[in-house]
Amino acid sequence: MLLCGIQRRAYRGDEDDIFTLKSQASATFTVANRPIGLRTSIVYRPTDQNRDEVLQSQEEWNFHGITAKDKWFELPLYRYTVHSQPGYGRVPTYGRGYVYSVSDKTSPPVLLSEAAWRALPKSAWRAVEAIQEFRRRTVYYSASQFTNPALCPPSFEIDEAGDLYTQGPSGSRSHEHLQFIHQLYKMYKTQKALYSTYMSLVDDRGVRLIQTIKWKETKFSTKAYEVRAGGRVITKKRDRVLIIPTVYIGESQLSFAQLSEGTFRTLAVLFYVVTDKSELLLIEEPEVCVHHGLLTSVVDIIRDCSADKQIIFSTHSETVLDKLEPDQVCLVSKSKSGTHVNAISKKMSFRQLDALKVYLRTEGSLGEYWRHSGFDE
Amino acid sequence: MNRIGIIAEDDSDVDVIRSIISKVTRRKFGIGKFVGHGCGKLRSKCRAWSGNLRKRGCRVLILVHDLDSGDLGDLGTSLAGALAPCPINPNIIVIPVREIEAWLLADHEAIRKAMNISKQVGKVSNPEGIPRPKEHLRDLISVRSGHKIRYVNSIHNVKIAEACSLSSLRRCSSFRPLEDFLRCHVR
Repeated sequence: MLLCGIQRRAYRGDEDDIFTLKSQASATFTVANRPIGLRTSIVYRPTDQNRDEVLQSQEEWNFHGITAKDKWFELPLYRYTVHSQPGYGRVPTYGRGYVYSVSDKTSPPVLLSEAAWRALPKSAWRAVEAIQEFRRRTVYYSASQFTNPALCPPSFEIDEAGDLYTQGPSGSRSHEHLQFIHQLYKMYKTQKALYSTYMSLVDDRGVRLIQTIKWKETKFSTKAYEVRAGGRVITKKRDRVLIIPTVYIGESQLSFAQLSEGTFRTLAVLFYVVTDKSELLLIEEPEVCVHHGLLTSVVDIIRDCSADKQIIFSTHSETVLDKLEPDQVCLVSKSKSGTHVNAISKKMSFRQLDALKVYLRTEGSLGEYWRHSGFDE
Repeated sequence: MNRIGIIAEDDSDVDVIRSIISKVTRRKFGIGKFVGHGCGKLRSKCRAWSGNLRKRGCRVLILVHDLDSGDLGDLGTSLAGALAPCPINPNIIVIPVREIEAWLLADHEAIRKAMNISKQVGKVSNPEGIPRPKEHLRDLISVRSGHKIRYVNSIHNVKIAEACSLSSLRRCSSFRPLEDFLRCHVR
């Protein structure tokens, strides 16, 4: 669960209605071969902008494996720092924000208060730091993140330092699209080899999504005026660069906004799969809007990149399952006690596993086995 | 024009075989194909698929299945049993040892050219003796390109196959029956 966000207003328990959802999750972390328990709960509700706003959350950790004491500590290790934003004010209530679709890598890890550190046994400090670091190196891409390429701006501005000057609303989809295009441009300017590797995967040498991308740069200056005490006017000149990206597909020259959803999404997902330096990459449904022929190559690329970092993705696609081995798949199932995630080898008995192996060898594929309810009991 | 039926485990295998047919026959030909996405589906469906390919006008059938870690004799017998009675004659069951990537490893120059690697790529003395040719090819390309080029089999196999020479491919014993078959039946 990656929480990030903008606090808007205080949550009162009496606001609950049919749209207010409550979720609980538990997980076990392993630090230096010692199990560390996490249990967390969130209350959230979709906003009028169709985003999930977290109204309340609780996060508790148990360091029994280290301290030998079965005690739960309330620690915000997995929650992102809450950003204040102009217009929203600052509400320093713990555990509120949005269920966010992408990690903001510029966010610093949550800083624990001195009192929180003191409340913890010293023997658990190292584990806390390890979990904070692990969280910092985890990145998540949702299925809806790179949808609707029409939200891409036709151009963007950067300042003298190369940082993005054009700003979309933080956390909005257009902002995420802009971030992707800007990061791609930055890679083009500063990491030629990596850019070349990426392009070789998406252009005619790779999956043939596009031919190339050209970046037109137009330099210009703006003036800003500041009035100082005594009426003295200071003129500040700022140099900027207007970047206009053009994507070449066949004989067409298109802006990113004109790309099809599948093309844009695949370009973005592959960009992060290939270039992201995180230790754990979580991707939701890479198959969305992607042709099955292309999807095969996308899964191959994801699998290849998993040699550098752990990649976990969710899928509802038979085509994706067909590209995987049973030991690479975890099954998600729902029961009265909640949603459970288990490796196939743990979910199935020895006899069931043997039956699956024989089926894959002689009858059909993993995706087909799943479609025909082979995993249902 | 000849129309050739190809049944394989995935599309990249079909593309490699198509490229090899073109090299050997130097003729125009059309193909019909089915891919199993794994061996189980291929085995259970290959007979029905070959019937469909015949209806689609294929007069020659090539069934390709990697040996992987299996036994050559057992796999050949099992596939022949699954295909019989085959509605398309002539037909051939091709079993690359251990994977079709072993054939590609047989031509180090093709790998260098196709993947645009500036450094020399060392010759692999016995490609069919490599237990996991796909991983070997991936690591070879990564190292020789200074970790700049990522090999993805479904994208790059066909490019390497197009650059391969027949003389290099003949270094693989599992390739030679396919060449003989094509010279005999695809004219």
